[in-house]
Amino acid sequence: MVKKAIDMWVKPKDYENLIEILKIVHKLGFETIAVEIEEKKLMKELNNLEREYKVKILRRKTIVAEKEEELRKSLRGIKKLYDVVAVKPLSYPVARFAARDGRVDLVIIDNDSIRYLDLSEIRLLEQFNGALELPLNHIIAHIGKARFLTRLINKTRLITRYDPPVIVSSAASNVYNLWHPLQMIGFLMLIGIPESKATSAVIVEPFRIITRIRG
Amino acid sequence: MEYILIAFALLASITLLLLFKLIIVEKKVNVLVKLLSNYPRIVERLSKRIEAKRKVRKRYIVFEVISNCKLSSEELSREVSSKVMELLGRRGVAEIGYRFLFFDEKLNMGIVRSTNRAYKLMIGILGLIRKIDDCSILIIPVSVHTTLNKAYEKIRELGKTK
Repeated sequence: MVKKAIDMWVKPKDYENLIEILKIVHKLGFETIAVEIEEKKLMKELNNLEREYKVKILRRKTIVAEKEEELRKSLRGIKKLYDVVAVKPLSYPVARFAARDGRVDLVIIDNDSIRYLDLSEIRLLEQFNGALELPLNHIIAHIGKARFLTRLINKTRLITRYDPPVIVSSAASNVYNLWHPLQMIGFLMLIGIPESKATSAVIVEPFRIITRIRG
Repeated sequence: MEYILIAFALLASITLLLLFKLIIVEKKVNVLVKLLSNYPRIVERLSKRIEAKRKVRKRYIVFEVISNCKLSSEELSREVSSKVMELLGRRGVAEIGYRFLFFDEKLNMGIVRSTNRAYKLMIGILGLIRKIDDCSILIIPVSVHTTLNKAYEKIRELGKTK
């Protein structure tokens, strides 16, 4: 079976926006996308859209939490509604809890949460089959800041050295924010991640997570 | 009859010996591969050395632009060049062999030149261009070619289907 690229985070604003994205996603070479939608009406229509546009659609939920209790509350019964659960930690305890918890698939690393990525977090993620997520549009928005760029490069060094599971997603809210899989690989190479690791971040690791979810 | 039998036995023994040697060599190679797989850094260094010895060749990247307004060739080339310069500097531009070659305003397709070592980086940089003035754009890499003629051919082919 040929593995194709997977975009793990697309967040359309409304139904029309989602259809525009679905039209282009297939052209870009994605087989599966994880969509984050708040409206419950749209959630029911995803199955029909899946058949129409020949793209597998997963339901995704992103949780932003500062305290452990907040995260626990929002994780309760979440796997019944959503396929992919990602957590954006805003403190060390939340980051550790997210890495340990079996319901959490991805831990987001962006401008606000990059400081909570360290060696023990990486070891926990490896142990509990989680993965780090790099949302490219969030990263690009802050790449002009020197402090963020230095932090990012330092963390990529950590990633290349200890080799935790990493995935990349576009975090696109419209068509013009989408990324081609080759562009994703190229960008990761630009920030210092080796080519083999970059390719696995776009294709292999997301596939592993999806097979784990769907069984 | 005896001579034929002896010759046959000799041939058989020689082939057996050769096979035996081949098996030993194969085993050694397998052991080496297993050993190297335990040391990824050594493999990386070796692959880098091999990469360094490879000859630098030109690569032509065909791309397609999706935008919500009409783009001129000059605007796009200015934006791409400034982005490459911003990220890699003058030395980097020279190293990756960057050149903006062509952009068809009707088909919204163009060609950028790079080298066999850096064309993936170049594709990554193209992905960073999201806005030109007030226009939102999305650049999609279509294919990579070894000669300029082949790249032009690809654009003509895609133009016919459009």
